Amino acid sequence: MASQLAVLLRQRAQSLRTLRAHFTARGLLEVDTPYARPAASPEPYVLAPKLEAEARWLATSPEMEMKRLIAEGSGPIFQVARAFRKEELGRWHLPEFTLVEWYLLEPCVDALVESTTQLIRCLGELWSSPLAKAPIMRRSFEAAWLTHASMSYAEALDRDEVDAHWAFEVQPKLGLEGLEFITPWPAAQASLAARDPRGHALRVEAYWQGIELANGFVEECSGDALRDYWAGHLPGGLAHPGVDAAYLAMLDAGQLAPCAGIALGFDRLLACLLGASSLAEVVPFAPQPR
Amino acid sequence: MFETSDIRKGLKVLIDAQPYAVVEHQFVKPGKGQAFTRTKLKNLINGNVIDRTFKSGEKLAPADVEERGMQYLYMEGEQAVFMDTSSFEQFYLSAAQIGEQKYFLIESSEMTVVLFDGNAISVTPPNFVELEVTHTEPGLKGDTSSGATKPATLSTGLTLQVPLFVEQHEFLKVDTRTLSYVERVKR
Repeated sequence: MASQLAVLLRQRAQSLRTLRAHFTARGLLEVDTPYARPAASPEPYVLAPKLEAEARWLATSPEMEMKRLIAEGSGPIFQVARAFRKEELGRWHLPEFTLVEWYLLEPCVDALVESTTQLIRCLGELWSSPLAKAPIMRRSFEAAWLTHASMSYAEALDRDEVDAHWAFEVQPKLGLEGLEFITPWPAAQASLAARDPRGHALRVEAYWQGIELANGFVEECSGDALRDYWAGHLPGGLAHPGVDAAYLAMLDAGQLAPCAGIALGFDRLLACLLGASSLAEVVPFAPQPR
Repeated sequence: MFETSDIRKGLKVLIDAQPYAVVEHQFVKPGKGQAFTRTKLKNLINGNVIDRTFKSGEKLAPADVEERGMQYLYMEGEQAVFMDTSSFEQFYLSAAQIGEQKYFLIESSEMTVVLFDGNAISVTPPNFVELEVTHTEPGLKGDTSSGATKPATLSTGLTLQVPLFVEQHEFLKVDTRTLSYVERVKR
């Protein structure tokens, strides 16, 4: 086997072994959930490839089924899952990639920041990466936006340009001095996150050198609140194929215990730890961007 | 129409009715937000490079750009005349359109003419051409070892640096992309 590939395979294997031991030692149970799902992605801009013949979609993340496991009483859990995306291919995007996703029964952003930091430090030490000792920073979305965006948030929201300003002006400036956590987020970008008393979304994202490594939520546990959000943000509202009836039924029955979960891009983290400059360098058989 | 997922280096697109080729592109997408493709595009008529960002879902119009092998015939005043050897159709390029390629116009040689909507807009020579040295100072006999160079003028007016052993009326292989000497050729 070509030596470069052999080295990469060992690096991936060792990282996964270390990650599993890290979570197991902290009392999280490893689970695996279906990759072929009866509903599409519940996000307007995260697209699930469809298995037409089966009327199923490939999972863009394991989050819906993992929360249903929490509702069944699983306790804190983690998963190393394949995630699938339509139309995402580039230096930091692949149509198929690996997410490490975990859920804690502590419904607070601090628990997510703490556990993410611990995991990154652990793998950082394994590969003697600057991430092992990088300072931890926190900033609100609002503060980051005010510092780096060239247009007010209100105006950008009005013109549907929030993503463009964030991606081109703000994101490249995040995580340059250390591992940076952005929290809280504006209500318009809550996704499946719960709100705090002031209406901000209890959502957190981790950045390193302008690269987004993780995204997490204190989970929204009210079916009505989620229906409201989906009705206002999904094309077609509640008729959108990403609206998961089983998930809503679970919330309506009050079965989801207060919890928080976060998904981390394993390949992206590995690329950062190993000094690679694209995902294709750390994923065997990755399709190359054109 | 092209989708943003069709964007790749060399793709020919129409922007403001002008033909452009994609020089560079980058996929950008914030986690749960809209996706974009940032591109650098080169205008095939005037050579200007512009930046454009396309949202996923935006369509790009293809430009009718064709590259055709043609024979350079001669200069007619300030214009270069080329012929498509299969159709015998003739195409004209102005001095401005020829630009630096004037140094590589060799009668009866094959070159690639770029057409936009059927009109010739530019020409690309082969990577290497052979041209005669029309003027250079005599070198010292046998001087093949020192790295020193001297200027030489070729039949097309191109001047470049050559090794000291190069003599007038010798033929040189020239790299058309760097306008530099490669080696002497026997003629």
